[in-house]
Formats: sequence, structure tokens, C-alpha cells
Amino acid sequence: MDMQVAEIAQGVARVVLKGRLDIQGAAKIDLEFSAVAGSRRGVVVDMSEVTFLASIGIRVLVLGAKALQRRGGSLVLLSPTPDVEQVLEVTGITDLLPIMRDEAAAVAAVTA
Amino acid sequence: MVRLLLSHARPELARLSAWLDEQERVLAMSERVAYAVRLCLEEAVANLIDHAPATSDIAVDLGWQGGVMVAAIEDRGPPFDPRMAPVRARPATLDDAMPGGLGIVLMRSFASDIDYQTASGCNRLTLRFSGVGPD
Repeated sequence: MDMQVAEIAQGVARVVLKGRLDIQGAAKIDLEFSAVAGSRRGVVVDMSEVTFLASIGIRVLVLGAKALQRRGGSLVLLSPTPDVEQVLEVTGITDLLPIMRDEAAAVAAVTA
Repeated sequence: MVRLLLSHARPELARLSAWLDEQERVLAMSERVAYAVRLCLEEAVANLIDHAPATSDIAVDLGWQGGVMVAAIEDRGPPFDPRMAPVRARPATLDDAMPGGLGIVLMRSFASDIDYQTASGCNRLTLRFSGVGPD
């Protein structure tokens, strides 16, 4: 699992995740992802190159969203693959973390 | 069926993952089946490692049976039939969404069929994947 962070607006980061967000992948990004979520007001997580998502990966995303929410911020997920979206859907995460297909709309959602 | 023996320890999940990489190719799984098998096996084995006492190794069997991919997990811990676990409600808040039970939700959704048997101290969870997955 690889993680890249780019600043796309004041206090808003775009996080690109690549690879499997399984137990090994979650362990690899957990600290850095938490640091990003804990220091921004908005985070767009580009999921388009996440090839696998397990429950431990959901934990990373939810913890990040909680850290943002506590400070009035928000997190959105951008363009997950169909298999990954299915995992998010059946676990009910899509009710809590918006999924967007358009990057501009995603950025607008977390900067509103 | 091919078999992998895992010790009761978290680092073994990396070995399971590497073994699945190989078996996806050897057993010529479709991407859809491979995803479902990986998800269910990693969730099931992680649940055993995290929640069951380390009484013995964990065995994972995998293979085609009549056009259906079958995966089975054997352990010798206290019996736990995931089919009997309460249905988890969809989370209403981020606090509700924290894992704890999500693995069972995923297994129920991504496996076509779940069977569980326990006899003489040995538990066997059998998951079947017809290729349709959760649709």
C-alpha cells in the first residue's frame, strides 16, 4: 500500500491510496493517515487505485473521518472500484462517508 | 483442495495473503471470485487470531468443487458459528461504524453459502463462492 498526500486548498488534502488496504496495508498507512486527518479541515481520499479493502481498512478511514468530524471537518471518498464500493456498501459505510466520482465536487464538499 | 497451515499469530496474515496471490493464479480464479475469497479468508482468519485462544494452528483449504470455489478454515478453539451471530445494524454514526462484526457482515455478503461444523474439538467453517459474489 502506497499513500501520497497533496495540498489542494487551505487546510484540505487529497490523499491518494494505491494497493491493498488489508491488514498489512492498513498498518503501513495508519499513522500517516491519522496525522493528515488530524491536521486538516477536509480530506478527499482517492480510492481509485485501492485494489482491495478489508474491515481493518474501513477502520482507518472511519478513524480519520472521526478525527475530522470532531473539529467540524469532513472526509469524502473519491471513485472506489466496484469491488471496494461493494465492501463500503454492505458494511453501511456509504451512509456515513460520501462517495463521489468527480474530483471537483469532492473538493467542494469538504471545503464547503 | 490445497492446504495452508498458519500459526496463531497476526504476522501469519501476510503469509496467507502471499499464498492467495499464488492460488488465484494456480486455480485460475476470476477477479470477482478471487476478491471474495481473499476478503472472506482474511476476515475469518483475522477473527480467529484476534478473538480465539491460541490453542492450535489454523488450516485453510481451497479448491474447486463442481465449478464452485470452496474455502474452508479449521481450528480447534471454542466453537463460534458465524451464521448464528446477530445481524449487525447499519451504522448510524461513525462511532457505530467501528469494526467489530464487520468481518461477519462481509462474509455473509461475499460468500454464496456458509456452512459450519464442529466435532471432536475441531471447527470447520466452509465458504462457497459460486462466482456471483454479493450481487
